[in-house]
Amino acid sequence: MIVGYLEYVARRLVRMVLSLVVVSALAFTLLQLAPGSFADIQRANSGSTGMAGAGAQEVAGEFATRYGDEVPAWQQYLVFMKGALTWDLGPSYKYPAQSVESIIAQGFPVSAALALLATTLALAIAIPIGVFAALKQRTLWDSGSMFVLTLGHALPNYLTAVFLVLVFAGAWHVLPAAGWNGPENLVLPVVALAIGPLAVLARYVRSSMLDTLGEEYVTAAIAKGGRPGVVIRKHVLRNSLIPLVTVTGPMLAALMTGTVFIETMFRIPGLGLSFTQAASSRDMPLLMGTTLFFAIILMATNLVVDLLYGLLDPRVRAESGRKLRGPRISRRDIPGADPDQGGRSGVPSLG
Amino acid sequence: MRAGPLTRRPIGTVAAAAVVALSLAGCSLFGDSDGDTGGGDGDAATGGSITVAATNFAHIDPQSITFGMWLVQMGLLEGLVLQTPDGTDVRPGVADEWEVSEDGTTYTFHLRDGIVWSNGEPLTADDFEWTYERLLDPERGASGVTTGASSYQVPLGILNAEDYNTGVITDFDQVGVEAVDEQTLEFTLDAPNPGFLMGLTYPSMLPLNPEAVEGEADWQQPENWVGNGPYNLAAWTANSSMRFERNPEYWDAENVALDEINVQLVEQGAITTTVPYENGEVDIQAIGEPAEISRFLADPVLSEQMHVLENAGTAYMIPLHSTNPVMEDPRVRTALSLGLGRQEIAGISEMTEPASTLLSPIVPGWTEEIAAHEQMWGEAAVAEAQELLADAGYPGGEGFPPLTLLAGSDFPQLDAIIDTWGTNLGIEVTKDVVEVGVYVERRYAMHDENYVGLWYGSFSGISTWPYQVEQLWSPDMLRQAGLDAAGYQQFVDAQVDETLSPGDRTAALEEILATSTTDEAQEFAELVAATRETVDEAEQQEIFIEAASVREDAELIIPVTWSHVVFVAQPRVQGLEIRAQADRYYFKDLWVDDSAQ
Repeated sequence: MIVGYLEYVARRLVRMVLSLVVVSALAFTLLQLAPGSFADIQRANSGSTGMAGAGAQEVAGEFATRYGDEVPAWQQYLVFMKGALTWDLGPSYKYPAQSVESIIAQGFPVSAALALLATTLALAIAIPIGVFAALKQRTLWDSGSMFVLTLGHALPNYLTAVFLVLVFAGAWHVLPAAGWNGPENLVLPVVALAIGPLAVLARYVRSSMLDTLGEEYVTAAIAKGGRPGVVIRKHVLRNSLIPLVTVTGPMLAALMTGTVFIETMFRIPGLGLSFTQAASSRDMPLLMGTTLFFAIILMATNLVVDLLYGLLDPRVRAESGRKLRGPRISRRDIPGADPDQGGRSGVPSLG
Repeated sequence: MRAGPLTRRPIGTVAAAAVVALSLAGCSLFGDSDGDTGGGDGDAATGGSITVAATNFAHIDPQSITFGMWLVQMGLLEGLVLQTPDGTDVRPGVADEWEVSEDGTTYTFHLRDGIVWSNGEPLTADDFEWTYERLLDPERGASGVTTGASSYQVPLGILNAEDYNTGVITDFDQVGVEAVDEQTLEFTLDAPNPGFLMGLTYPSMLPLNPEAVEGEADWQQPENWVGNGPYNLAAWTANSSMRFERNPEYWDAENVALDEINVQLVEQGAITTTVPYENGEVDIQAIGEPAEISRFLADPVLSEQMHVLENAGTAYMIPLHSTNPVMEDPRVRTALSLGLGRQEIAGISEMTEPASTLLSPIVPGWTEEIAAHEQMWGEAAVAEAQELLADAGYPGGEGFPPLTLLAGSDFPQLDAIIDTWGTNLGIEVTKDVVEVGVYVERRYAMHDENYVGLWYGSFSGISTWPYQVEQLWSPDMLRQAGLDAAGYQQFVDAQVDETLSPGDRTAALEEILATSTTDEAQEFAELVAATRETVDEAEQQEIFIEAASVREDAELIIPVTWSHVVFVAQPRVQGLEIRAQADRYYFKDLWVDDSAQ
């Protein structure tokens, strides 16, 4: 059992490394194909002043001595990847005094904190709403709350954010519109980030609750004389929430890596801005560094979710253990039990 | 079913992590949070703080062209001279006096007695010399600090500076900058230059502290900062904010009112609103959105808080290089200029006006006569444009190839240009708004015959003749625009020709520009050169006026609109005056009066 698990984790890790190589090669190739170089763009943005403005000057931008312009692109790639192995990503072009790893180290805690707070907020609201809607299925409460949440989900977070800013800062003057000075600066961005996930999660909880409510063991528990409150809390709710892990993980990862609108709007010094700036300024080391980092975060979160899922649900654990010890070919024979698929829907009910 | 107790875990984990994050948030997450946003406590002329919004930047090396260099100039570093608050002349800075030789080619600056850096070390003429050697160092492009080209302004005309920077000469002693003694700095120029003193107020001429810059640590971080301005860098949260604190070592510290400056760094292209300003979080902010400006103008309270510098910038268009020769016909270019509905285009924003010249009308001595035509817009102009277009073989726009209007971001003005050309001249124009990397490539590319058009840009700068004639829309820019397809191809080839030495390349490029461009463009370049042959200011000004007029007549760069610079400032902010140079004002000139309404 333990051996099987370790074997499984090891295989996943190998696959992660391979994926990272592919991701880095793709990102690098796309960057090479993109028009314009870091030097050209810096020159264009600098206007006409000084020698910098005389158009396509003969001064070819040799930006970081680490790479050089003369060496072929594939060699630059190898130099970068060699450094990446030891978490030495070298200096950014755009922020030459800083190493890429230090930019990530500064920005990521901020983005991660926002993501965690937003996810927590979303869960804290989504679960009660989802449960309530499921229990009041086909009432006005149910359709009403789901309608509002769908609206919230449909609105992109930058629109929600603008709306929140206009109301709380513009009209009521109760919260700052932007900045990063203290906890009061967290309120609006966290709420703006939480609304989309909140809607998704609540609908998830609702449908998952409804599935569980229809299970025979619930009927059995009630038939045995269990009080509805206890049955709902002990049997329905707990089992309904397991699948949430599968959605919450990737959601958290997505929030950690993709909040650039919110970050620029609220002037939050997170990582999203560095990432998008790196792409638009063709800052190779920073773009490669952040891309790889984001890829690692996403893959690691997925791995953690899959492992956690196995731990939480003995059925999955039992199956993946059996499966992993068995011949490879038998994996497909177990319907929906492959943790890679995040196989929520296919998990056979043994209840 | 025994999974029960475990189900609490995911939520518990996330919640615990969030709590950790929150407690982190309380301390290190926000970095330096001493910054007092907005509120000042000084009610008299000294003390207090203000918060300003500025465009974000990656570094604050004044020798590297970013928005950071302007912010540095506003209060962290101070040059030999400063601009007067109205931006039309200079006042003493690090140098309290200076002399100019009779022939106008030698400037001798005397540094103030006892002037020091913020670390207490003396600030010497050698520091300036060291700074300029760094500025002109041809190798520095490889260090990753500059933008690949020096931000030295060629029209300053320091002897041999350009040759040293392009590698033609290698001995810095031959460059016309010399620290005569600790307190005396001498510049030798190629030729008299009436714009020299104002040119010294450009950020690249600010002194840098050699020990700090050459030190191991990052000199742009607060803990390593050594400056000589009225303020020191106290905190910098990248992409978010900065805080300046009063520099007690500053020579004029007793006349600096504000204790603290908070800078909010706003990303270019971010969803920006004026909400932080109206919410009292920001004291001074630039606004540019036409809709925002209209709203402020319409509001009786907010309109009182606007500070406007009229006609400080010019939007213009330049033909792209194409193998299709249609734009090489001066009749076509003139028709495009006269057929432009400048009034309609300017009507989009309350802060733009139709432009008759590239030169800003705030330049002292500007006259309508500089314009290429008496009527640059209106019925007569359009009629003339239609006639010229017919002469060129395209009556009513018939048979005219589809034009492309290239821009790096979208402006409503682009649509207005396209619309008025369509209406007035019957020509078809499409907008090509592309990502910045593509924009840069297309702007300088040699296009095939199917891609004909112009690119759209805008400039603003100080309102002096040398700046507006030599620096913006410079002789090289105009002559490059005037090259025909064959000439431009030669020019591009020479630029990348590895076999040429730096000196030979400069000579080869000059040769191509001088011989293959249009007569007017070359005449313009020669007139600009001629301004350096005299020290008589009146005579110089006359030559500048003539040069500016020839530049318009060349019809190679089409002026579109003049735009105003608009700032809003809370009533408590005192002493704010907007200058034409992009730093706009100095923090040392401001104070707050909380009783002001």
